[in-house]
Amino acid sequence: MCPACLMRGVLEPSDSELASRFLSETRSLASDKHFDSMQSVGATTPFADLDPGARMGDYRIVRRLGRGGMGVVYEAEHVPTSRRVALKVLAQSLDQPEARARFLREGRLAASINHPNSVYVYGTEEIDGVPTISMELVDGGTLAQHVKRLGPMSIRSAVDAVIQIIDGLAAADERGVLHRDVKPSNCFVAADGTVKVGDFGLSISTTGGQLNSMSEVTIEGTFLGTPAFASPEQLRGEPLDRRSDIYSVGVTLFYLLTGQVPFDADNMIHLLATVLDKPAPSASTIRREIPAELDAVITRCLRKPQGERFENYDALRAALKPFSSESPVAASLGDRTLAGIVDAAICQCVLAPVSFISQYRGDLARDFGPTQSSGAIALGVLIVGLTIAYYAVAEWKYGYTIGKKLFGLRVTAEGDRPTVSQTIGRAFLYLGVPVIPSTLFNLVYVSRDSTEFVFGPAMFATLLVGWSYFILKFGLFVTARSCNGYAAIHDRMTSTRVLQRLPDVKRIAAEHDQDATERDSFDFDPNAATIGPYHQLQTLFERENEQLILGYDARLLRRVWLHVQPIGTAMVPAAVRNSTSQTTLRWLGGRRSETECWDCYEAPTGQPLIGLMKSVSCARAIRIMRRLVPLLTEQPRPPETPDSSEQHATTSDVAKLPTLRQLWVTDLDELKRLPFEMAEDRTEVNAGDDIEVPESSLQPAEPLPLIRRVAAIWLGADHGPASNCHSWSLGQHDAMLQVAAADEVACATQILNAVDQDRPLKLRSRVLGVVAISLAFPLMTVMFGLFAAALYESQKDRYPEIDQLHEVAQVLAREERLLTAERIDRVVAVQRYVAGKFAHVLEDKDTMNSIYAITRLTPADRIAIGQAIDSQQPTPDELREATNAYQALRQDWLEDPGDQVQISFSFWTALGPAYTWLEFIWFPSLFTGLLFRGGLLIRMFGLVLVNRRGKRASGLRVFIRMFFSGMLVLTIAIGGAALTFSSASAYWSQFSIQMGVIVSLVLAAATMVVVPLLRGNQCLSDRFAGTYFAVK
Amino acid sequence: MKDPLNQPSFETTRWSVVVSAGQEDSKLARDAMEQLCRRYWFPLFAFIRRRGYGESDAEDLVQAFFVRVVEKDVFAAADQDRGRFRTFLLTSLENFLANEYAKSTALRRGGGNKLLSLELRNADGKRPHRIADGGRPEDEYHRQWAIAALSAALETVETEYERDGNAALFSELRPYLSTDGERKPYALVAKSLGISPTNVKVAVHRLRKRYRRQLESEIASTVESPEQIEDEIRQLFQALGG
Repeated sequence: MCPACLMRGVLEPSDSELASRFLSETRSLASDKHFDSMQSVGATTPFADLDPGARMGDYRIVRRLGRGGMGVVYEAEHVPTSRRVALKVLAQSLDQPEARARFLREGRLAASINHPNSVYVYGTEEIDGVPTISMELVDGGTLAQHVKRLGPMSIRSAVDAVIQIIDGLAAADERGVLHRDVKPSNCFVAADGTVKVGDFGLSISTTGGQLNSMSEVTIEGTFLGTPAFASPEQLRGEPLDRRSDIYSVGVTLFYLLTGQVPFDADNMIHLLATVLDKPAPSASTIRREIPAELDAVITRCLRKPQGERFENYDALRAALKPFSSESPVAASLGDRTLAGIVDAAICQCVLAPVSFISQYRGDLARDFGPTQSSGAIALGVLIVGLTIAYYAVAEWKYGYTIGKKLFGLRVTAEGDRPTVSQTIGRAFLYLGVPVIPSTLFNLVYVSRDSTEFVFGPAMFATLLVGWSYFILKFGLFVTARSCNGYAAIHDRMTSTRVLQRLPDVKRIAAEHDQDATERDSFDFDPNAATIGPYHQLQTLFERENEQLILGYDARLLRRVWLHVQPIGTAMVPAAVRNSTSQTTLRWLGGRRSETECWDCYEAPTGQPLIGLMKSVSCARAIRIMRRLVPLLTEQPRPPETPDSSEQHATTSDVAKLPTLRQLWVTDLDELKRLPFEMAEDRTEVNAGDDIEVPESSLQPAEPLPLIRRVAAIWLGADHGPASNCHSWSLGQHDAMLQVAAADEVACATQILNAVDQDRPLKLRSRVLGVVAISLAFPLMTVMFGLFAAALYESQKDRYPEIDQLHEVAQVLAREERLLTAERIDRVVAVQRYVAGKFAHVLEDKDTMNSIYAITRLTPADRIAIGQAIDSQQPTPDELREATNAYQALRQDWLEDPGDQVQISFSFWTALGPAYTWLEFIWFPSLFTGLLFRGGLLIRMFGLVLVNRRGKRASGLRVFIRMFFSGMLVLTIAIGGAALTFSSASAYWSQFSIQMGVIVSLVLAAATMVVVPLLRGNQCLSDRFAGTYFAVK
Repeated sequence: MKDPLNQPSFETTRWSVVVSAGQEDSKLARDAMEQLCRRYWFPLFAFIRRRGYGESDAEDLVQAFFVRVVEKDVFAAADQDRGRFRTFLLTSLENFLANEYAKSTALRRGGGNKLLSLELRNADGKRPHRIADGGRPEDEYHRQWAIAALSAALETVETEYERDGNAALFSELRPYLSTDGERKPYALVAKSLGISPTNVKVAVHRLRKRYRRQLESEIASTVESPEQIEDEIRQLFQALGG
């Protein structure tokens, strides 16, 4: 075989044009056999590997941990302080300025992020000309190692891990840092299970300013990253934004769940081809138990166009939350009711045409009546069936209907999405069963004249059937209790639950964040006095022998705290220096010499605990308290040190409880224990504190008094419902009271854990919900009134016979009343007239069953007319005679109509809603207020009424409050009625009275809506009675 | 583009690593060294022959050169910039020949030392490749080097195919590796192998890929970094006159 030809065969492009182009463009492609899509691309050959025991400046290498994007990472010991760190050493020759710049940039970018889910950077230094970064040592391995060792993770733990990654990346994103190399092997697991994002080796800054020029060390069009985890745009070398990191997060989650990456290939070309063209496989094809909804979240992360992925980390976190291990919160009945109303309204609107057809059989004026036909019943069943289908499909496919989505609810079946049979079952029990009695009733009596059900004893049966709907529907909820997660009967039977979709815990407040960014990017004076390598910015406090200075690390561009102590103070204990605990302020360095004695610590954003507790919301106070209890009770065990004297000092120092002044709350509500006391105004600290706690740190304090003190500080400040209405719940407030008086730490812990701290309070919407439902009743009256009026008018024109019949009935009634022996012929004449002229009308069911006929002809009228028709069969002559006689009698009746009450229909349309509201809402609320301190509606929305001090309002106060709430409407109703019937109506026309009533009612209703909308926790009547709505 | 150090294959076969390990006189390193030398024995031999030495002299010189290389840590001397094994070996050989020439002696080469076992004749005593006439000795060296690399790769692939019981497949598909091979239509090959033409296509593709990888791996052991592999292949192709 000719060698040249063999060689040519080798060089012949074997795959595609793309392949050969790629080959010529990228240097490393020839080494396809080394291709590993799971490895970082970007690093070049390191020149030397440091062996264990080797010295590098002040560091002693312990072992190699791995290789990052830019260098080798060692576990190393900082010899002067014996602190273990992860030391990253640039693995390139120094004559590559771009690599060096990138390396230093990594340090700065990573150092700008101080977040529990991000690996902390202690500092950067150049050792013998080699740049190094010393980082927090996270020794629990990486997520990749976990998956390799233990196989794919459980869905919950994978999602939990990814949510932590998201938190870390979001913190970076807030600083304008893109990671660009997110993958399981860059996610480190701490001993306590916290996942931290590390290796910002390829990260770039997206913000302007100082860092911007540095991002140019990455040449556009060059690929850097890890192929299997890189987004399509990253593989193409295009400009990136956070959605590229979101893609990598998606791949990471895919990997954690399945142990595989969605796209893999044995060389770059194949990988490129698949990543750029093929849609990502679904994770559930590899692992069946992955719920389709989670699958959809992953798929959305892996979309090729950036715009189709999640827009930001908050959205992604919210989408993942349902699969995390955070305990679900049951939806309140109030929210469910509101969601049900919305869904019902939607179905009504959509199905209105069908519904209309079922009632409308040709003529609006003629055909609205109680007569049932089998067709109408079938259509009714169809409507219910369609509604069931809407519920079942929506809950099965998405876990929520539109109404549930609006109110943040979700249907689950034991943590998973419900199956289709479960959702059909739910919907049938909730929607189908209640209509069964009426449907059966209608079917049985379909052929009967429904008039007999409208009048007479059968009416009760009709009513009962009508009420059975409500009994069956609302009876489903009798089992719902707060202790069983408000499980209604249909929830129980299908083993599903309706849960609150978890809210995102409010992250750093926007203004906070703004401050932090501004603070960090200020222009510092390079000539300012320095302590060690740090520039002094500002003295935070100064005591007789110590000083805390805000310093600036010009190399890492971040702020630090410098704690200056008198010369000769002992070194900070090793336990503090080495601590990687989130609750210890990180020690970054320090110096003890004859002229200097200072320590450098991280400068976390936040506030001292004492100051914060005075102004913080109840939910946040409880969150902080929950973290405070373990901090105070679980003492960190100091590591064994050979030096016994140091050990002694360490033990005693660490075992000592911190004073309250030594506690700091970060913006993320993490508690940090400071190694010094923050200055704080002494007088305010003691406000509202009746428990004497030795302030001096010399005396070892007990955890319990400290906990009680913190609770007392919170309670001491003004946290009444009046000042803090949006984050105040009675349960949380009561818990704080209990904690302030707790006897044991365990008891306090139990109380704190029992409080539902993260539940969204949504106070304003709950109060508005109460108002909305209470107004819904009168509104329904208005709607019904308007509809009836319209129908009434149209039927009045349509059925002139009814009016005539009405007259006849009146005349007949009058004659029967006046009946004497000689006037008997008059009655007979009227009866003959009726029988002759109206027999066919009475047989016409449509006419007789029309609403107009029902309102115009009383049951007595009908009976009288029916008897008349039965008793007389007049001949035409008799009829003619009777007609003439009737005309005369009609004239008599018109001249003397008797004490007949003429119903003024329009009057009732105006005041009707007011009466409905007073009767069904206000009146019962007076009793329930007095007896139960709040009515059904308030209870349903999980609300209570409290007084100014935050205690539950007394029954009398609630009664007064309720009484006030009805005053306005009551005045209008009484005044309106009085004006209408009194002789004073001479001054005002009926119309102006009507308008006046309507306008004042609308104004009253508007007040009921507007006041809580503005106040949040009060209605107008609460302003008078001094009560506040609060979440239970 | 990627970090080669994560690849043990490159780490262990890189020639400089082999050589430096060889200083510690480990058996493994010595074996690896021997293998390298055996593989590239013939290019050296060809070079010496083209410099005008007789066949037996050339054989002895190559032998002596290798002994010297192993003995005197020649490789270690060129510590800073080892470059490619091919050029390094050539330079070393030229220096060696110059020294030999100065001494004007072809005697006592490797006397008393254990000889490397370098039997490179076929069963019939023929050299595996012809040494071309004309041209510079260096060119011939590079040409032979390329041929050696190609053959070594081919041999390994063949052995692998045989080991997997695919000897027949290999012999059928082998022509497709080369551009001058008599490439029968896929259908014909498919018929003789009893598989579908599509499968033949796939198999050819696989073989080519496999062969290329093997060649790269072969070459990887003679260069200092993976980036140089591609370039080395191109240079060898040029050396073959392509």
